[in-house]
Amino acid sequence: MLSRNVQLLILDEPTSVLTPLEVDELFLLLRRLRDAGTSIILITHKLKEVQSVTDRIVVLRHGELVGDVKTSTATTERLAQLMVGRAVEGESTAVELSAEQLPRAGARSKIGSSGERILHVADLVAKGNTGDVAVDRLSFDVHAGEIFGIAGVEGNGQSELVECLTGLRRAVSGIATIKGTDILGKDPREIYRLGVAHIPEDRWRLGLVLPFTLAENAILGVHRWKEFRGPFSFLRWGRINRHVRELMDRFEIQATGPNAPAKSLSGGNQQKLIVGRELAKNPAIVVASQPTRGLDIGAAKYIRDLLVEMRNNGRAILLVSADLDEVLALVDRLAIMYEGRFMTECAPTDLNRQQIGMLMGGVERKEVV
Amino acid sequence: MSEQAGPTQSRLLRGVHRTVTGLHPALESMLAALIGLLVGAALMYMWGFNPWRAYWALLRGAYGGSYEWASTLARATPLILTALTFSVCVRAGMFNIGAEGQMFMGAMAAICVALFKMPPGIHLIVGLLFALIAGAAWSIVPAVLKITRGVSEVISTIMFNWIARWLALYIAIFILVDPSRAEKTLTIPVSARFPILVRGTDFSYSFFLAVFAALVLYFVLWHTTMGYEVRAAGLNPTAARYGGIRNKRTMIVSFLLGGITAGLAGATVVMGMPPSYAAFGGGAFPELTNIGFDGMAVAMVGRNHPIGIIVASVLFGGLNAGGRVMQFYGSNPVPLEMVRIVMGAIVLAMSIPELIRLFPAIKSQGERLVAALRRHGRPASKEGSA
Repeated sequence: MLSRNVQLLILDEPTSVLTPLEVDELFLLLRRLRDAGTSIILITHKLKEVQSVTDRIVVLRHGELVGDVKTSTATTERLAQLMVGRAVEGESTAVELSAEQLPRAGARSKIGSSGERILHVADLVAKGNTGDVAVDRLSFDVHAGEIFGIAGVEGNGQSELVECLTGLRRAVSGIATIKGTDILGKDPREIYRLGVAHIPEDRWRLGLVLPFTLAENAILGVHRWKEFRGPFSFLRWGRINRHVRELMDRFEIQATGPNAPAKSLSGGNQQKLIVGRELAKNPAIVVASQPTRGLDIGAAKYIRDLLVEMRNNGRAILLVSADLDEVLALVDRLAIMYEGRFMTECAPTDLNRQQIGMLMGGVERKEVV
Repeated sequence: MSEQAGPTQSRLLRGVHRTVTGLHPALESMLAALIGLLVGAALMYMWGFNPWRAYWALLRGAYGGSYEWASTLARATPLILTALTFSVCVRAGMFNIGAEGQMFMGAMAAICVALFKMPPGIHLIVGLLFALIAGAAWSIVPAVLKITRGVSEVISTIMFNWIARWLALYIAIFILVDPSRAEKTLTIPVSARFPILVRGTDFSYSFFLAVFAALVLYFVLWHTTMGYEVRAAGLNPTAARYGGIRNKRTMIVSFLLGGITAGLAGATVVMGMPPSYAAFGGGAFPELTNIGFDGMAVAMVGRNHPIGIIVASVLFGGLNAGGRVMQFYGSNPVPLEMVRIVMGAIVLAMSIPELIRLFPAIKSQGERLVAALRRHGRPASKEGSA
């Protein structure tokens, strides 16, 4: 590329697969190019990088340009503030959701982490699709009656972690158990049998078979249950349709009927269908990955309410979300994920937004005051 | 796509996901047929034939009376079965081009019943069992190659067609040959033949076997967990995996089902087609050749739905039966070549809706093939330049 004498060079997360030494070399090269008159756009979520190599920084949040500062005047704190949104000095967890977006049962769990340990993860290592380490020796527990939230910029290993825990990806090493039963190396069907519900991050690719009808989608993953499967493994469409009608009532899914194709539903109703299907499994633990992404305010609030309700009913919930406001509003315990590791694991009230922003940008906990 | 209220589909048409025009699938197919007929008429008119009279002959020859109907349905019988082979695999997300070869193996296996005696009826059932086992066995190899080694099923099934064809020829000439007539195989004994349904025609009870197979596959695909898994894996393999479905299993299942119907197709030809009740190795199997490939066209016209396939095969059988009449009807009959062109226009027009629906799958399959060929072609070309 560079041999073509470029005028404008755009780099999107160029350092994610490089070693620190290679990063230094790359930055040296970038500075030389800049001095030679090349314009360079560097897209990254690492605060140290932008500060070390750039001249000017713009901050994007939810697709909006929220800040444009000279690097010489930008402090880590200032950048973190811009990244995570409005942050009043000293106010610990200012939640940016308006009152009607907040769950009605917004109070924190009373049980906390004293409930039964449902999910146990120790030293989990997993690789991403490109073969680099995506999950780097993670350890954590999720207990019954709590929402454990993982915040962080997307692409820091959250997807790979969830895929490992739900049987969609092989872990390299480590331990993961549900109520004491090992789940690594098992396929999704065996893991669901242990009481796991999975709300996937990509509802079109993973969660739904779009050309299928509502009824067909409502039994994906539970189609072999005795309830729906008669002799000679015949599907009991009568019962399935009744089940779908119940789901439509209970989870407020707007559709013409059980035979409507799933792709004719709006995004919010599709997600309600998935959430309804998963919650109707009566799970011990719900693994929810970006459960409200791309939804309108009403549907998002509805799904957040459901998660809180499940928590209050004594289920364990692992919530992975890039939406910091959502995480702060819902979780009982919080972890911030950066490059496959947890920067910290704490109560959401322990940190203010600025500190969270810095941790999300890769600043070590001990450097964050 | 995002409109709130999707049309509620009727039960039978649940498998037809989307029509190109947004019309009812049957209406759309009729429209396509009309366009095909118009194109065919224009071609005949340009070459100086009377399209009106020719189509009248076609209609009369296909559906003009009980003899014509019998002839049409007899031709439809094996096509239903090979079309099912293709469509069950399409439903599972794979292109099984191997119905031809699986049908040849089924036919040869069915002829084996001529080697021993059995009571009537049982003899027939044993022959059908032979055929479906042979078809399934021939089908399972490409499926296993695909699962274990990632071999494209398109390439392997095409190759297996050739292996099957020459193997069948060898069997017909050297093993199952009729000692008194070297050009044909042993004749299926009366006890293992499908009874004739309409006297004086070649329409036998085998038609009901084909219809029964279509109905069974319909129930398997839409009313059992196995069929549910096959269809889920075919439409969205990633979501199927998320749903705890083992995609390798659905591949095997669909190829097995396809092999069974293709094998039965071979059996219906040799056990249900008078007067010979045998395969003609000497003529390179005129009675069997292309039934597997025609089945793919029938599957397309029938939108890969078992019920649609039955309708499409009656149409296809009608074209075959009526096309013969077109050639010697009236003072200026249409020559065979023109008949073929007209039939091609009709079939092509009627396949277009399903081809459009399957186009993304066909395209990705093609891209994978090209990529595979490039990968394997590169070392060779390097050697060439060195």
